[in-house]
This record gives sequence, C-alpha cells and structure tokens, in this order.
Amino acid sequence: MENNFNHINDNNEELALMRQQLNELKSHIDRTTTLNEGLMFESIKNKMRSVHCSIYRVIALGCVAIPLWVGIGFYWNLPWYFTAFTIVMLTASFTADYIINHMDINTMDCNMAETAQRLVKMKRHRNIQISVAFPILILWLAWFFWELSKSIPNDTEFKAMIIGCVVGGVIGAAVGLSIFFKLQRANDEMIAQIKDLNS
Amino acid sequence: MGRNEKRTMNEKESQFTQIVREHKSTIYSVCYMFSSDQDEVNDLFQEVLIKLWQGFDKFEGRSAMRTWVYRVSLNTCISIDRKKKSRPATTILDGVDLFDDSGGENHQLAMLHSRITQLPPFDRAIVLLWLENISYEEIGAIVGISPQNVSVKLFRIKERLKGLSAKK
Repeated sequence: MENNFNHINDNNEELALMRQQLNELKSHIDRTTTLNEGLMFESIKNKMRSVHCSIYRVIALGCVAIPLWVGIGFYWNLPWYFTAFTIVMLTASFTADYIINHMDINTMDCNMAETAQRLVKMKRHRNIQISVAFPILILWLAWFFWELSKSIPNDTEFKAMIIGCVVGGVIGAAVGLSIFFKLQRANDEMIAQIKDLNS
Repeated sequence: MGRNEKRTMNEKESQFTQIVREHKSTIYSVCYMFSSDQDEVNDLFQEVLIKLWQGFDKFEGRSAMRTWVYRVSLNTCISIDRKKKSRPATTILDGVDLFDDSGGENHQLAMLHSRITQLPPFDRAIVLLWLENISYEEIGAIVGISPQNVSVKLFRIKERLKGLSAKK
C-alpha cells in the first residue's frame, strides 16, 4: 500500500514537473521572442496567392495538354474516338486531382478527430484515384501503341516511339507507386490513431 | 480597395496581431511538441498563423479564444505533411532556438520535449491540454472525445510516461 502511495506521489511529482517545464517553456518564448508582424502578413498573403496559383496551374495544364493531344492525334492520324477518349480521360484526371487536393479541411469547426477523419478520407480518395487511373493508363497505353502501329509506317520510328514510351512509363510507374504506398502507410497510421483515440 | 474596406482590413490585421501576440507562446509550444528541429517549428508556426487568419472572420466566439487557438494549432500540426516543404521556413518569431542547448538553458525544455514527443499525436495533444489546466470537457471538445474518455486516456498516458521515465 505504501509503495502504491509513493508510486502515485512520484507520478504526481513527475506531472507537476512537466507542468512547470511547460510554464517555463511558455515564459521563455514570451520573454525571448519578438513577433515579426510584417513577415507574418507577407507570409499569409503569399499563401493566399499560391492557392490561387495552383488553381491557375491546373487550368493552364488542361488548356495546354488537351489541344496538344488534339494536335498529336492529327499529326499521327489517330482515330477521332481515341483522341476523344484521351481528352475525356485527361479532363477527368485534372478535375479529380483538383477536387481531391483542394478539399478544404475546415479547422475552425472541426475537432481533432474530425480533422483526422477528413484527412483519412482525402488520402483514401487519392488512393482510389491512383487505383482507378493506373489500370486505365495501362489499357490506354496498349491501345495507343496499337493505334500508333497502324499510323506510323516507318518501323524504326515506331520502335523508337515504343522504347521511349516504355522507359517513360516504367519511371512514371515507379514514382507513382512509391507515392501510392507512402500515402497508404500514412493513411493506415492515421486510422490506427483514430481507433485508439476512440477505444 | 475603398477607404472603408481598407480601414476594416487594418482593424482586422490589428486585432489578429494582438491575438497572435497574446497566444504566441501557446501556438509556439504546440508547434515545438510536434517538431524535431527549429525549421520545422518555424514552418508549423507559419502554417498555424495562416490557418488562424483564414478562420478569423468565421470565429464567432462560441468557444474561448484560447480553445480556438489550441484547436487550430493542434489540427494544423496533425494535418501538415512536413515532407512537403513547398515554402522555405520563415522566422516569423525571432529570437528563439529551442533546440539549441549549447548554453544549457534549454535542458529542461529538451526533457519535456523528449517525453511528450514519444507519445502519438493525439496523446500529445491531450497531455499538452491537460498540462495547461484545461478542463476535461474542453479537452474532449478540442480532441473530439467524451470527458470520460479523456479521463481514461489521461490515465493511460500517465502510466506510459511513467514507464518511459522508469526506463531512463
């Protein structure tokens, strides 16, 4: 019994020490720091600007990629349905990318658990996006090579195109997969923490 | 921007600056407990201020200012993907390097940091709020669990911290 009492006392002293340390930390910060107001508002304005820039970047990318693809379709005499499908796929991809990554986590109204759940949802949507896009991309590539084989009469040119596409595809796939698994891990860690919180 | 709008913006900036001054130690302490180096602390601090500014107009005063600041700070710290450094860390709060222990002054702070950062993020938040003498109800409202659950979690956290210090 006495050991338990001492044990509780040790624990209380420890926590009292932590509280004291935290108070010391806060008064240290108050004493030794100055707030750079100009830099603070400059930083805030830059952030607002970069949010708008990323929106314009997505729109600009779409405005470049889609006409470019139409041009490629004409140059290689690719069938109109293939070009149309590619444009639809590109548009869907940019739109999904924009919606998922600009999901506003409203930290004002949410408690921590809700914020974490929204984050998990966002990451899950990203995972779904990659899981859907990847097989479609592979099928599209196979279709593209097939259409290209009909359109490019020169064997050497065709082989060079294939090699270039395969190398680029492998590198892109490796990068994409590593990002996918990293997000999956982060997602799982967050889910485990939320479960632990509610246990 | 019209003169009236400019005055309102000036007032808003003035009020916001006052709030940040009053709560800078709270915000900075939270960022410190979720970081492993000074750059990360500065980065998180910047992100928290941005979130506070974005939510400033919507803050209706239903909760205390301190609760709101804590909620936004903690949410930001768990949300930020620190590997994604899209901006270089700017030093909005000059004069402090909490990770520099060359003078020996920060030893106590380092001890606290070492204890708390061994906990998972939600436990870190709960223990920080408890150390600030915040009520179980308020802790529950910030974290998103019942006051009873807060009590249970705190007991487990205390046991865990005790285990960590016993190992040392």
